Amino acid sequence: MKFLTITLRGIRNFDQKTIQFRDGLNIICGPNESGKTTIVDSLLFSITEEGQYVRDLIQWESDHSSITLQYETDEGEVYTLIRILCPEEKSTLENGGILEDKGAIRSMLKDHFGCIIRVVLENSAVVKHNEMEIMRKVGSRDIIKEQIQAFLTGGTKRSPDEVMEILERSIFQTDRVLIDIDNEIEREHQNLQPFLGTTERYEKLVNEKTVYQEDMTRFQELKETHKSRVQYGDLVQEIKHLEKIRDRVEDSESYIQSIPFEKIKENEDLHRELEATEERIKAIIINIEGREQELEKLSKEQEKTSGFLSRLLGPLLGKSSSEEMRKKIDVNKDLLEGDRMHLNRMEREYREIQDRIRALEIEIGSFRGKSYEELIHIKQEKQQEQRVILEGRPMEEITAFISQRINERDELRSTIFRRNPNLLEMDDDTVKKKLEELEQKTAWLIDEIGNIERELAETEIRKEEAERINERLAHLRSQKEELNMKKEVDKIAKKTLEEVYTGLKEKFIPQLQERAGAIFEKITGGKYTELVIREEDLEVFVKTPERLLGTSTPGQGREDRYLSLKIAHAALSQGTKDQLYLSLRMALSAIVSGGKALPLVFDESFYTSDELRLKETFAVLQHIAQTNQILLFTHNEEFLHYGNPIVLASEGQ
Amino acid sequence: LELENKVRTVTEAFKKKMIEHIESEEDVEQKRIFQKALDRGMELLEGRQ
Repeated sequence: MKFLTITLRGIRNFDQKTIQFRDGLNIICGPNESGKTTIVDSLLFSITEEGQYVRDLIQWESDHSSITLQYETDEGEVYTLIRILCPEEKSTLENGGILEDKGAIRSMLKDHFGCIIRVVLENSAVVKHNEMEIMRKVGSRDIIKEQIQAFLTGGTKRSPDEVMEILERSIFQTDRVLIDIDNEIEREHQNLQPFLGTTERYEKLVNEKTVYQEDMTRFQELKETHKSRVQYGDLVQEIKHLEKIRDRVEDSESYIQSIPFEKIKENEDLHRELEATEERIKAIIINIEGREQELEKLSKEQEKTSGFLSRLLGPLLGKSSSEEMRKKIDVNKDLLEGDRMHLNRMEREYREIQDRIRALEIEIGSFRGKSYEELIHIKQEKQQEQRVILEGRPMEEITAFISQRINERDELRSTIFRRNPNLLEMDDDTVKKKLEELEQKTAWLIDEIGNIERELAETEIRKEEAERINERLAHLRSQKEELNMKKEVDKIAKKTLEEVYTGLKEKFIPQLQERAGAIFEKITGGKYTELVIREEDLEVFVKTPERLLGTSTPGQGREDRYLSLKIAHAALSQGTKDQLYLSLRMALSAIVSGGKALPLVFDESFYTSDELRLKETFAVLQHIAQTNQILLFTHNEEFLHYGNPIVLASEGQ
Repeated sequence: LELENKVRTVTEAFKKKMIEHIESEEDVEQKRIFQKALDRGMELLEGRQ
């Protein structure tokens, strides 16, 4: 893998600049502000599209900004990557065809460079500024560890070790809180003891109350029906009583109405008339008897005067003549006849009166023998009796009242029939007895419900307290559950992180050891043959080739053996440290790229090195440059002769 | 000597492993715990917590 050219248009201080790189060691030299770092940033940005410098890259007031990077893969294929930043962002990757899809470009770049995470690339392939100098001052261990970790994590803000420590701490703290919560749960359990069964008791009481209230409702309904039935019975009795009053009054009234006052009066009149007629008849009879006697007397006298002498002497003696006598007799006879006729008429009248009386007496019937006055008295008595029966009320009122009561009775009967027809079959006393029983039962139920309600009120207070404790317990349990989940989450996160981190280290460290060891052996000309990285702390050791050394073992004396020396990197000379460091960076870079030899970039990495150190370093770099393209950016023109010189003009030139 | 191409960093490996757990887990509750563990780990690694 090597960079061929990079063309910057409208990027920072470059209006348009193309730099052509060669194989091996390229020394890109320019004074300060000549754009060395811009080229490094542009390279990294082209590959990764990451970095806070993106906007900074665009030249002020430029209407076009782009970076064109041409590179050649290990397979000899040449690609042109164009990143247009302005006027609008656009990327293309050309290799015969043109790729414009961002995802496809990223995928292709990842294939070519192995990794397109800027931090990882920077930590493996870019040796920055005075990094080598810092390494010398603080010791390579930390720098190496930093590089390795940055590579392993992919440039996360926290290292896996830090994250695992945080998780461990979190698990520990969660455990402590869980213990507190368990203690609190235990305390609340103790608090709950006196209230155990309260809820059940409350529910039982509520159920009992419901049952009693249902019974109560049922009994009330039954009571109402029975009351209606009693009322019905009372109404029946009342109606009977009223009807009796009505009947008695009606009977009395009928009796009064049946009294034939007119006929009695007529009868009495007729009796008086009969008596008068009888008197008159008697008088007529006496009169007739008197006339008959007179006539007899006259007849006799006439007989006497009818002789000659009487007829002669009569008028002389002042005596009536027979003519006169005859006349008198005739008159008397006429009168008698008249009397007799009168008598006959009277006797007829008498009989007629008698007939009328008989007829009347038949009509009068049972009232016969009672005088008109007596009957008037009876009538008055009956009327008085009616008033007493009616108690002063008019009969119409009683009649209307009976109708009203009958309607009420019929309505009640219908209601009772609908609710409980059997009640209509029962007698009043049985119903009243049952009603009394119902009254007793409802009274008992009222008492019981009252007792339950009182106990309910007390139990409710206790229940509320129990509920409060239970709520608290539920809250604590929920907290505990959440914390257990948090703990579980932390444990899983830690365990998984530990596994993958260890796995990566296990996979990566041997590769790094082997690859860096091989480079180191080459660079040091076989002075050191092996490189060892301790997994737990990433401490680096180097090993010498085996050589004959004298060793002493307690009890066995001294003997000579072929042994390899394992030397901690801290004990190495500074030059060897630099060699070791560069070997590791190269190995890292190779691993990042998946075995590809990525170009190594050095950005003002050696500006503080003295002449001797520089010579040693460049010897190493030239060695590395046999396999990896190297881009070394420097302001020091003295470096130019170590490789292919590329001179950058200062700003404005 | 190459690292597996698809997984090159702890973050990626962690994410991949957790997603494997989540996908292979049938229990919904446990799935949820794995998802939370993934979020928790990622947030810590990326410094969001």
